[in-house]
Amino acid sequence: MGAATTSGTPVTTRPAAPATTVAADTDQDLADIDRALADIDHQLTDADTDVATPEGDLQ
Amino acid sequence: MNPLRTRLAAAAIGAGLVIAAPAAAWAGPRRPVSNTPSATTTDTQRRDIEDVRARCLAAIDVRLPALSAARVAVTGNGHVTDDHEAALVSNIDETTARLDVLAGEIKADTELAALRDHCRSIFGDNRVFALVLPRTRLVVGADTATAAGAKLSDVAGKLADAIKAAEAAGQDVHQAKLDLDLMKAQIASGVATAGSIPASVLGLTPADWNANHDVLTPAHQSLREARTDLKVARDLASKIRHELRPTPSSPQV
Repeated sequence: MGAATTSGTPVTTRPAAPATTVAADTDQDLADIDRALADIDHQLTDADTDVATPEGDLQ
Repeated sequence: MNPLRTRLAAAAIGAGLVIAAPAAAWAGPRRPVSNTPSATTTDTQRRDIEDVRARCLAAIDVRLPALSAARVAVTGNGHVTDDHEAALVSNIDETTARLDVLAGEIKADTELAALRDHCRSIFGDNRVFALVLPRTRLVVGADTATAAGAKLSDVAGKLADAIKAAEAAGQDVHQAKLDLDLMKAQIASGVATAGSIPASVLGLTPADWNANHDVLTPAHQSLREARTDLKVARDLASKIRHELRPTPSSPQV
């Protein structure tokens, strides 16, 4: 949509910038992903703890 | 005492069986504790049996709550698939049932040989800490990674739309496009690697671990690699979002 400045130069007006829109659309997604990555770290740590526990082989 | 220390201490009791039992109990009395051999030997054997019994029951007592906690974690995790949850819970329940039976047998044992066999079974036939629990963590982690990959794919789709919009607005989106391609490749790699983990470990048995103590190592490494791929993809998402910000000289209003 064209508009005119006081000098008569046409400028283009747009809705919100793509960067603004996608940031709003993905904030929650990225927060969910961060939580998932932290949970994977937690699982890896627990697995390390498990395997570090002596099993008590009777040999 | 924190849970790890508690577990290590209790497990060390079990490990102590390996060292102490053959000399102190299973190899027979060696300590000259009295000058009245026949009666004292019987008393010593009885004490040794009770000592071994207590250590074996302690080894079970540290495993049962760990299994119970893992079961709660699996059933309460929204990322684990139904099939994987069923397989993990079944494995945990069967292991718990075997340990319950062993506890009863160990309490009832009157012969050292039978007690020794039952104690060995706690470890060799169940492998709670070496296999059952870490396998559970790895499958939960893999399913969580798969879910994260799906969410990242959603984000990639939104970023692709934003790149198109920015390009239509006259922005330079060259780098953003390159980063989006890389992001998609990282997601695909992470999802594929994570997806291979459950099938590689769910069928493993204690006998498999007894034959190869490193049987879980490849799956463990795969989960680390999948996590790394997904983290790179996530960081690329932030980078692309930054790249789509209009520069000060942008004509946008």
